[in-house]
This record gives sequence, structure tokens and C-alpha cells, in this order.
Amino acid sequence: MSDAHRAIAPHRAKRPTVALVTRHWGGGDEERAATARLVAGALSRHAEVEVVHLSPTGDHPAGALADSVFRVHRLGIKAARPERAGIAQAALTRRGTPLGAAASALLDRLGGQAPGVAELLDAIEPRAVVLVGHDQPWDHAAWSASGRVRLSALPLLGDSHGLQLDSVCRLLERCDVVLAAHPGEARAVQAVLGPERAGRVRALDLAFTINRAAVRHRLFGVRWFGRYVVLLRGFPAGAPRLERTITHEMLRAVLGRVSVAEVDIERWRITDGENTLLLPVNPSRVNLWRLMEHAVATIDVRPGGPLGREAIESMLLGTPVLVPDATAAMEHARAASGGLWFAELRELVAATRAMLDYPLRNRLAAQGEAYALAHHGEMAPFVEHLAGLVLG
Amino acid sequence: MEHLPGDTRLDAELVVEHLRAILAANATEAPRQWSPQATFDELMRRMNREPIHLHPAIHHLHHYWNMEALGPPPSGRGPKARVKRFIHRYLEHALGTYFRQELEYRAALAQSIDALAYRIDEVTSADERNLLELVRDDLFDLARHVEASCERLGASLEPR
Repeated sequence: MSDAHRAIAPHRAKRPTVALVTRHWGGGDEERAATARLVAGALSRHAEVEVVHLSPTGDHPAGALADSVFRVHRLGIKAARPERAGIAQAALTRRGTPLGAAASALLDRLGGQAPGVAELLDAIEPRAVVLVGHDQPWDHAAWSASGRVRLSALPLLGDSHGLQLDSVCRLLERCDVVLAAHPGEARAVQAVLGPERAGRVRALDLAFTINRAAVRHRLFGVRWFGRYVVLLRGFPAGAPRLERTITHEMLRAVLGRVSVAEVDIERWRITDGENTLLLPVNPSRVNLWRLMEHAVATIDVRPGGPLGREAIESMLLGTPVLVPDATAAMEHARAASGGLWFAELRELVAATRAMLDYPLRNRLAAQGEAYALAHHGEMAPFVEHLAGLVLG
Repeated sequence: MEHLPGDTRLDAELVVEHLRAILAANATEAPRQWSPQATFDELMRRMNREPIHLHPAIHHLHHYWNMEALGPPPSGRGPKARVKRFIHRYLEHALGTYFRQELEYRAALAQSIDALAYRIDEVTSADERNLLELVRDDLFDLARHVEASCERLGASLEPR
């Protein structure tokens, strides 16, 4: 054990220690990083949280840094080839076709290695380890050696490609609990684990707090455009954005007298056909809530993320959603019956027209809000539920 | 959707399936007209280079891509009308699928060209903005240099 790692011991409090291992750590709004921080924050109510940040940016000094209430240990990922891994994954993975052993080994190798994780965990001596994100180098031997530690994983799958890797599957088999962020993820992991281990997969309803006082007021200028739908093309900055194959103007042609408020990263605009206003706002989440709160519906056309956070927030605000098929957002909309989904442009157009039918829209809105409030609206139950699952 | 039951839970999956069934039976649900997009970038309006999306050819494409090849069957009762209806039916039978595919193709083409025009305008705008930032940085450097020179000059002129 190195001196730097020994120095951890005096900081140890009487509360149990939980190690959170992830490559997604930082202050940004990226979904996986935000989730890692949310999970760490929730666990810190019951435990000391030591974050092991597997960083792709090379070597880092041994020892821990303080970050809010967490202690963060940065370890560099060695020999990772993310661009090659992306190209190889796109070439090798085919929907519905299992990945061969050689392809899986190649993708694992291109993902790099994070030596030192086992040694660091030995030094931290956590009561439980939580792995956040499936897209990180998994050293199966290290986890097998630490068999006495309670191990939980929150895979945060954007799609099911990650589950085709042998290393990830073996790791999930080793886990005492696998936390699923939405029903689709739970089904995918259960299919990998088989019926005898399916009980280890537990739903983790992440809680999102909404600033209700802030959303009462509409954004400046929006009231002059009457009824409108929100078109989410890109949000937040840095997240995947839909390129313009479904245009703002095309959607407006479908909607007739209903205006369209488009959120395209930093450019927000609203149009009723004759007038267009470039909204002079800071592209923040609170302003997005203010826009969604007073909308007929939220139409999310972005590539799917691992959580579908904006869909949940829209339902929390009582606005039904229209989301792409086979995404986390769609799983939430289906579980809540709080919105509709589409696979192609014609379905988007038909679903948008259906959403303008007020009895249907209001019913979806009420169901979505009830579901979102029950599952994602309260922080205290989420904190207790998570602590129970992770600490056992 | 007008007569939704009051108390029971509405299953969104059934609604989506219902919409998909309607679409499967009716192929004319896709939007048939829209205007070219505007970028609304203030910088584009003041540039020397004209935005691509204002090019008349793109507007022409948007106005004329949606041409029905056959139109509705001819009406009337005379022998001429009967012959026209026969020809229309024959053409519809022989070429109807092709004409519909052709229309979908033209729609996709209009959309793609629109997307490309938008992207080109965005890149041009970013290019111009980068150039302006470089010029601004140069001007700042020049201002700092002049300021420092003035200070040095002022210091040298002060009585000792």
C-alpha cells in the first residue's frame, strides 16, 4: 500500500465508507456525470463517499482531493483508444446479433486499463462499492479479488451495445445489486443475468428537484405567441443534438395555429408562422423548465441518452412528452402513459396532431405528472432507497 | 379521441398502436409543404456572403417538389370522360407506386438540401465569427501596446 493511500485512514469517520467508481465525474450537465454526482450526494447522507475517478487524461498524482463533501481519487486510464473503439464498435455490433469473443476482447482492449483500482480500494476499505456507467475499463480480476465487498452497478446504458461485452456481463454477474435507471435497462440486464439472478436488478428512480417558484413565470415574450409546443433539438450544451432533418418549419406547418418554441443548444426561438422571436435567455435548465411548464407538449427529437431526464422533468411539470422510440425517455413515457413516441417522421407528425386533441393531451399530462411525482419527484425516499440498496 | 373514458387509465401504448394502424392504412400523413429554414443569425445579415438558404433555387424547390403526377380521376359522364377515366385507372395501376415513391424521394431531397443549406450557413457564420474574434484580439493587443508606449513616454517626460 502506498503512503498516499495510507493517508486516507485518518480521515475515516465512524459512518460506513462507500467507494463510487466512475469515469464520469465533473461539474457539467452531461447526464452520466450529473447522475454520478446525484448518486454520490444521496449516499453521502448515510456514508462517507470516496470517489474513484477513472480519468482518460493520463497520469495523476496519488492521493485524494476534496470536492464538496466527497474525496476524489483520480486514476488515469492507460492505453485507451476511444476513437478506434468507437469505430470498431460501430463496425462490429449489429442489432440483435451477439458479439463474438474476439470482438469483445478487442473492444475491451481498446477501452484501456485502469491499473491501481484494486490497490486503491484495498486502501479505502469500503463497505460497498458502486460502479456508475458501463463504459469504463473493467478489471474483472480486481473485482473478483474483492469478493467480500458489497458491489452495486448503475450501468446507465444508452443502448444495449455495452451488454454485449463479456467483461461487462461478467461484472454484472458478480454484482450484488444492479440498479436500473429505467424499465428498458432493467429488462436488458435481466436478459443478461438470466432468471436465477434477475432478482438482483432493482429499479432506481432517480429524483429530480424542480424549482417550482421559478417556473411560474413564462419566459419574456413567449406569452404573445399563444399556445406552443417545445421542440427540443439540442440541450444541454455538449449533449448530442439532432441535425436538421426534422425542421422547425416543417413541424410548424403541421401544427397550424400552434406556435413552436425550439431549443437548439444556445439558440432558442419561438415562431407562430408570421412572427419569430429569438428568445433572449440564458440556456439554463431553469429556463427550460419555464418554457416546458406552459407548453402544450414537449417534443424531444434528440438522440437518446441514458436517463431521459428532460422527459421526466417535463412530466413533473405536467406537460406530456413526445419522444423517439427505443430510448430511455420512451421507457419513462410508456411506464407513465404520460406521452407518445415515434419511430419516424410520419409517426411524429401523427402523434403531434393527436397531442393537439385536448382530452387526450390532458389525460396524458395528468398521468405523466402523477407517475413522475410518485417516482422521481421526492428526494428523501430516493436517498433512503438508494442507501438501502447499496449498503444492504 | 373525443370520447375518452373519465376514470380509467389511458394506455399510451394503445394510442401509439392506434396511430400506427391509421398510418399503415393511409400513406398521405407526411407534411407536404414547408418553408426553407432561416438561421436567424444576426451576423449573417450583415455579411458580404449571401446566406445559402436565401437562394431562389431552394425556394423554387420548396414550392414545386410536391407535384401530384396523376391527380384525382376525371369526372363526367360522356364517352370522352369514360376513356380518360380508363386511362387514369390504367396509369394508376401501372405507375401509381412509382409516382408515390418519386414523391417521397423528392420530399427527402428537399429536406436534405434544406439541412445542407442550413449547415453551410452555420459554418459560414462560425467562420466569420472566428475571423472577427481574431481581428478583435489583434486590436486589443494593439491597444495594449499603445497604452504601454504612452505610459513609458509619460514616465520619460516627467520631471526628475
